[in-house]
Amino acid sequence: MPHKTSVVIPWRMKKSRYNLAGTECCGIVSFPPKNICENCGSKDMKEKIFSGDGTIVSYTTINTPPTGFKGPYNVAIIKLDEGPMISGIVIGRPSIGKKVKKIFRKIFEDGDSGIIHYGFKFEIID
Amino acid sequence: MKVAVIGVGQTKFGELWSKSLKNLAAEAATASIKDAGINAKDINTIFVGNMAAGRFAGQEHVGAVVADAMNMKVPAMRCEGACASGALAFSAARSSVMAGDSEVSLVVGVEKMNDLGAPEATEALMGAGDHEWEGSIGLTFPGLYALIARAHMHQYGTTKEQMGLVSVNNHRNGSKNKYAQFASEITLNDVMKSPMIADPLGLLDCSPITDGSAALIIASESYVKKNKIEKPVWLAGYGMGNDTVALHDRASLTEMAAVKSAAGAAYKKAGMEPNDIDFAEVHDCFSINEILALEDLGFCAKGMGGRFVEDGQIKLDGEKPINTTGGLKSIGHPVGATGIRQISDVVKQLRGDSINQLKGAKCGLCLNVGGSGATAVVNIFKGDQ
Repeated sequence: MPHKTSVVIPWRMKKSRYNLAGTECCGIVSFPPKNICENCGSKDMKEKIFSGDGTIVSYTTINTPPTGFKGPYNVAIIKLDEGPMISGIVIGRPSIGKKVKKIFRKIFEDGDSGIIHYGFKFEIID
Repeated sequence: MKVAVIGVGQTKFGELWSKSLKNLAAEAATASIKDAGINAKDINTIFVGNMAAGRFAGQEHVGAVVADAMNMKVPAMRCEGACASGALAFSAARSSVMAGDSEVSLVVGVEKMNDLGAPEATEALMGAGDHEWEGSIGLTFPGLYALIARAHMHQYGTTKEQMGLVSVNNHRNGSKNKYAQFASEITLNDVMKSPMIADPLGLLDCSPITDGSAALIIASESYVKKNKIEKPVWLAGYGMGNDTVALHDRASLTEMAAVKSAAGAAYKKAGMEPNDIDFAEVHDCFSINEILALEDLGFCAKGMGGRFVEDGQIKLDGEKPINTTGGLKSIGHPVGATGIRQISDVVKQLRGDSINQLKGAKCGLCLNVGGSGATAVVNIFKGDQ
């Protein structure tokens, strides 16, 4: 979501947005990263890099985008192979059960003078 | 300590270009005080439901702003929980009266949304989702509910027609409502042919962007008795529930755990079951959410919401009349005001002065949902018998 003062937000989130860095503790893996382990309550979570491979659980086509985005584009909820679910733009024609993999892409431009935000989208692989 | 709603008021809902946030709040609040027939000096506290005046109107500090607009110098605060802000303000006022901190409280819900263009309003509303992991990748609120709808269709065979019938019913109920943004009937064909917003949700599956305000006066039992207030409507049960902010973090995309826990708590406090509820106001921000609500409130079995609608059970003469005055779809959805407007319409049914008066209605339920289901508030009301 465009936010003119947000230069620092993508910097702070670059590990997760660029490399799918989540968290792991007590055998529970989480993406997006969690602050506190849901099992033991520890704040000392280990980093866990997710593969970016997953399956479409639900999807839609956005025809009325917010500022900064140009519609139409497809968005899906992806169940990652490691377990957690995440939302992302899907390239290609989505349907429930289709396999996808993560790709690194430009997500949106913060107007003419703001920075370009990068992150993950998903590409259908079968 | 029992708590009663003793006055209700609202503005017209719609695109109200000549009215500001302050104008709207003051108009609804004044109407509720007049309806209660009390002296405004009896009001001890003000609670304001508002989601995003900072984004929509450049105005924060909304509790004080509303008190100021009413020329009142009593403690005032704003409550925010996205589209459930109105019911949260009611919850805070209820707590204040039950604790004995106030005898009489004014609850105002207000949102002034149309000063922004549609893309900016869409972006502002997306503040109700997870900014880092939903808003940032281009998701919108119609998009989130479309993801829920698609999953529900896949899992339970719910159809686009069944969702469309929700909008048809709400517009039929709202067609006589002088406060409604769209007081007109629509056909199933209209819904099916309406432009796609986020597949499978078309324009007529979506509640509109609305300016408006609604207000309530709530009071303690002792105030009601001391002042011989006529037709008080009593709060019989209440509950609040929470879940993850991001839809993708939920265990299930097709049920709202927050609604189930809020409803469970409210039924328990009221000593009631879903069967004891005569009618309900539920949060039809998108048609699919009324279907989820029917299931998660226990009015029908999980997965059967679409069938329940198709069988006509939500109509005024059905088993469980829903949104008897038009719902969010027909009346409009000024997000911070909706939870208050819902309570106001339940109160009118129980006093016997609704535009679509149900015969013998004794008990009504309100469900106000925030975001894609991160916050839910359920209140159950009974008439004064």
